[in-house]
Amino acid sequence: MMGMAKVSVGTRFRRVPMYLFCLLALCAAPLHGQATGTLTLEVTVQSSISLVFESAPGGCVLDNSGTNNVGLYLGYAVFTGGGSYTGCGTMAKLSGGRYQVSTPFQVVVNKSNSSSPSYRLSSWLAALPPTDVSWVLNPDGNGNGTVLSTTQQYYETANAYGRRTEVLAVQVKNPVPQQMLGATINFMATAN
Amino acid sequence: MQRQIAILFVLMLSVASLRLHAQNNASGVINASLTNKAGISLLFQSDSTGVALIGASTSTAALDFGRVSRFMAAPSQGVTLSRTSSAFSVSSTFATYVDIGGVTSPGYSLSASLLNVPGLFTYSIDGKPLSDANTVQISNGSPYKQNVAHTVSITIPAGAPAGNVSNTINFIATAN
Repeated sequence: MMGMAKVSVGTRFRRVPMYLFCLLALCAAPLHGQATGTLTLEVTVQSSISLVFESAPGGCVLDNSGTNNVGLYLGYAVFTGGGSYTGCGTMAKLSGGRYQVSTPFQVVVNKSNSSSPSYRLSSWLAALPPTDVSWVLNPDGNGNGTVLSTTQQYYETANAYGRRTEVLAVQVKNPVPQQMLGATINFMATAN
Repeated sequence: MQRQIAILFVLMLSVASLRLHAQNNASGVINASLTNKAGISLLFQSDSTGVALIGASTSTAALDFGRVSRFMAAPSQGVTLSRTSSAFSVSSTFATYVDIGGVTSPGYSLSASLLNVPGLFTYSIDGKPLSDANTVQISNGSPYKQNVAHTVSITIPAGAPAGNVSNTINFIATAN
């Protein structure tokens, strides 16, 4: 064992200059063959939310569903005392000589990089409807809901992010003359 | 006495003659030498389709994506934005310019690593995710003396808090 130890120690000492040479060579090589540089990246991440409309099961199919600018064609409705209707929505007779055509649709609001717990939803018409015509959101069985005007109304104040179903209705009184009833309805979701 | 004066006069003339001779003939030698060492340099350049670099044409540049958000309509010029269901990414092109002298090399390899821990964010060069723990090879055999375009991107999860995000990418160009 002692002999082996002596041989081993001697070998180590003989190898020391070789190790040093190798280390020096390794250290020197990158200086000749490498170049370095740094690229610093900066970005400012801001909170944001998105709003898109989607067709609701059982409701009318939206044109361009999945976007924030959709079309909704409710069909033909005729007031004949009890009401008759050909379209994708639901027709109902209301008090006061009115009828209503309605359909559910979905509003999808998502957040990103935000600690906001909820959002509020507002809506308004781009232009006033004809007399005796009303556009209503989320009517109850009697047709009572948020009657839209050209003034922005916050009608839901603490919605959870994600998908929720809303109902859009148009209510028409008996004396309204035959015509195409159209409306552009603006929606805005605002993070709380 | 006169003889001594004469000798002194002769000696003075001799010394004067020697000094005149020394002023008219001076010589020297410069032994000059230069060790031409092999060297390689790395510079960053702006790419025409990307964000203009701060400190372009140097080896210490910066790229500012500006203000970005997942649902923004359009990012600033040079920034490309893409979205997934749970995150969004901003990217930009830039170029590396590597030159070499004193050695024959057919090309260089480029590798990169992050200076700081990336945290929630994913930094990539040409689609290759970077790490602060390992160096990742970006390319191999890239040509010298020309701009080589790369794409740098940051992926930001939707759950990450808003605010400023910064990190530094260390690049190493190695002669092949």
